[in-house]
Amino acid sequence: MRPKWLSTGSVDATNAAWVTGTVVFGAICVAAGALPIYYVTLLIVVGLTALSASGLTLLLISGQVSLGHAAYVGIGAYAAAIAARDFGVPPLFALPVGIVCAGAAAVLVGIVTLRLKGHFLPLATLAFGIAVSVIFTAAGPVTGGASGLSQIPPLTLLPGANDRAYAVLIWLILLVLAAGFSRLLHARTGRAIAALRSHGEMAEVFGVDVARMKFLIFVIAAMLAGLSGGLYAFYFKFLSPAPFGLTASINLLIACILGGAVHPFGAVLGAVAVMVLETLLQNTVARAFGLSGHVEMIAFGIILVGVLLKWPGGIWSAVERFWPTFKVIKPERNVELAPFVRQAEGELLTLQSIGKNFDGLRALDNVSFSVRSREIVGLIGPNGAGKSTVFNIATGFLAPTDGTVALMGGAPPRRLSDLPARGVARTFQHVKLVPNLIVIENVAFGGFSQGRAGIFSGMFGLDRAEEHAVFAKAWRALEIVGLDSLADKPASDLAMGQARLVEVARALMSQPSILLLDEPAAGLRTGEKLKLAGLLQRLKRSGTSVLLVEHDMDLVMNCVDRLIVLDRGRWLASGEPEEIRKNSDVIAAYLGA
Amino acid sequence: MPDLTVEGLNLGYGGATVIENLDLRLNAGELITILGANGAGKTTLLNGIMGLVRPRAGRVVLAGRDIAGLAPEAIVHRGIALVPERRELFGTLPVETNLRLGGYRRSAAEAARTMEKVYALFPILAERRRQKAATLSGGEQQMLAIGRALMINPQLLMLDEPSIGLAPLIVRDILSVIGRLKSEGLTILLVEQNARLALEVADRGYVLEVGRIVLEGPSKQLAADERLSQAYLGGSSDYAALRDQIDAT
Repeated sequence: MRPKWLSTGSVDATNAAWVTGTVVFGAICVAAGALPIYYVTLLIVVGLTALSASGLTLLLISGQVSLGHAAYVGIGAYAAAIAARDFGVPPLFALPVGIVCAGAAAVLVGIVTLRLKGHFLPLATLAFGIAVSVIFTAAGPVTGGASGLSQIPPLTLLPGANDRAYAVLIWLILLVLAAGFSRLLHARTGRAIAALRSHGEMAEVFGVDVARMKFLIFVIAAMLAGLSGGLYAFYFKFLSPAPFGLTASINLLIACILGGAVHPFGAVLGAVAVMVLETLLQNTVARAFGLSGHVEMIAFGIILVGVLLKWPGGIWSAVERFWPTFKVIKPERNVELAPFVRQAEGELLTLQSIGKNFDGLRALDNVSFSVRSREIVGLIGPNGAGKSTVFNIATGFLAPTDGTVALMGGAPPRRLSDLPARGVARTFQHVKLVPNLIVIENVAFGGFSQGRAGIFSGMFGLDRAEEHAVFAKAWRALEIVGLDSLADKPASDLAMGQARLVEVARALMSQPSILLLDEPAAGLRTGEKLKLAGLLQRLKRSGTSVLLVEHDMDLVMNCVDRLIVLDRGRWLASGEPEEIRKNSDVIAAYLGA
Repeated sequence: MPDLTVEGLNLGYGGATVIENLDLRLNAGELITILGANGAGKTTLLNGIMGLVRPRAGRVVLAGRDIAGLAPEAIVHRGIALVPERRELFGTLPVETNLRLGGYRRSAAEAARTMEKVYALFPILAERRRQKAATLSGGEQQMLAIGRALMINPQLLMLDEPSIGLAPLIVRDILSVIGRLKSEGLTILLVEQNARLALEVADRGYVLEVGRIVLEGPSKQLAADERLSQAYLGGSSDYAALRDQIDAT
């Protein structure tokens, strides 16, 4: 049973895709049964394009791009066809062979290229696309070369099944996958994808293995292309290298972008739009001018530019207005802190004679201090004193040039994504919220490391119990920082001070033993700062330690147990607030009279 | 010297109204401050005056001419400069290039003259003129952001949270520079989280809550206003009371 508060009505953002998919599928069944066979062929071709385009859209959503994606379609097609034709594998089992081969190719490409940064990754995928289509032509003895591979056996699911049934099959697969991916966007994995796209480092800190996640999506996109290729091979029963070349790759990208590369259904819309446009233009423009091939391409280009000027977000952005927004209904009020606290004993963070050089510049020199359990420690000092560097060294963002760090009893984890498992959470001086997720989704993302739901359960709704618990907890976290009224707002609408408090709520979601706060009060008014001070005191009493970097002396002096003062990378003073306030060195360097 | 009058201003994004029917007056040579909670619409108000958010209704009259609805660059040309909340410097460019970009609309000779003034105001920037902006400390970056705004030789300077993220000593420095700019005759509109300091330098203040002005008056009067003290001006005694309250539970 679906938890009631997960939806406002019968259709919401998490099931809208499934409802839409079912309706469209019904229409396709009728169309495949009733239309002349010419249009059934078009349905099949569009469905196959949309299938690879939806994988490519998922890739684009994760902030990656593949400029040679048709190569994976080709690998899937040739592998399935050769397995069936030359090795006698039944077509139904040859399809998975194609999928696996396309996936394996992506694994190889991924291992080599995903380490590449900036423009090199798209260029590498482009080169791969060109290379593969050349190989299809060159490897004549295996692929039939330029003259093609014929006599591919058909895929027959049921005796007597025809092209009409094949169209239904393809659209069934397409809609199930597209609806699944669409649901995934609002599940645990979807939040991680959105997070890694906008702030990769922040996603790591909350437990996402960014490189692995990107790799996984890259391989999934290739496998979808491979599936589309296999279905293509068994439909046409003839393969030649041409449909898998550069033009095909570009056309896939056009379908994605025209449709709107933010939603899997955009790929379906885009594929349909491209096909409809091409068919219409061939039948009208080309005929009207008595020329074929060129005029319609020019008209196609003009229309494409026009549509994208009207809807920069693709056709999907026009549909999106009618799409239900993601909402979570408020559970009963509960500001209990216990679920956000993981008690630990002893010294949680110890810095021992830390030094750090940046290009010969000594940023930190011989800094030592520790944070024990149930303690709020403030780290203050002039701008440029090295506070952020200390933060980054303590959490393993940076390695110290000399000295040792112990975090929760060991060296900082080698991978940032292991921080939440250690019981460490942080906020960022420059706010890192995911702008296109609503506030409560941003907070829910903070619980990533404690969830388990993967891609499959996110697609098919097997994660409901877990999501229920995560959002109930996220709501509590928002109530604790006093921003539950903003739960449904896009994070990009928040004022700066509000965004900082949402970051605190997100950090609490990972149930930290030690919370590192980087200027949480910047932008807050006194009343709001008082609330924050109250929260920190309550957290401490419940068993969470806090390392606080903050310039607001009212807050710091009234909140912390001990203070460490840095100046130009060196230790200047430490002690209780009252001592620090009277320390003449600190007054001269930082506090002022 | 111009003065600024805002009448019936209405601002918003998409379906949401952020500023509603707002009136505000800023006399030539005056320094006013706008106080208000997070999300009250202060940044939106500055962006609205600057033309970065297009007013939906109302007038923004600068020196007798309505500038509401003009493009931001036209408004800059009329003499309004904004120091944005996040400073928005070009981090990979040297200090001097950042300043020169501020004076983009002016002749080289004029810009060079203003740059000397900026360096006189902030000697540290002269010292670091060849350093990349991203390598400056927070206080120096704020000085650069103010310097860049001064490069257009504005009649009206608007500052959005200039003290955010700065050490207490530097906050004093920045606020005293703002006071100095005022004494040289610049008209200033200051949005500042540190209400106590802002009221120390400002002539008058407005309190903005949920898109409306709820209180206005001379700084001294506001600083003494009880309604303000709890939300914006509280001090150590409030924290102590809070601790007692937590201890009690």
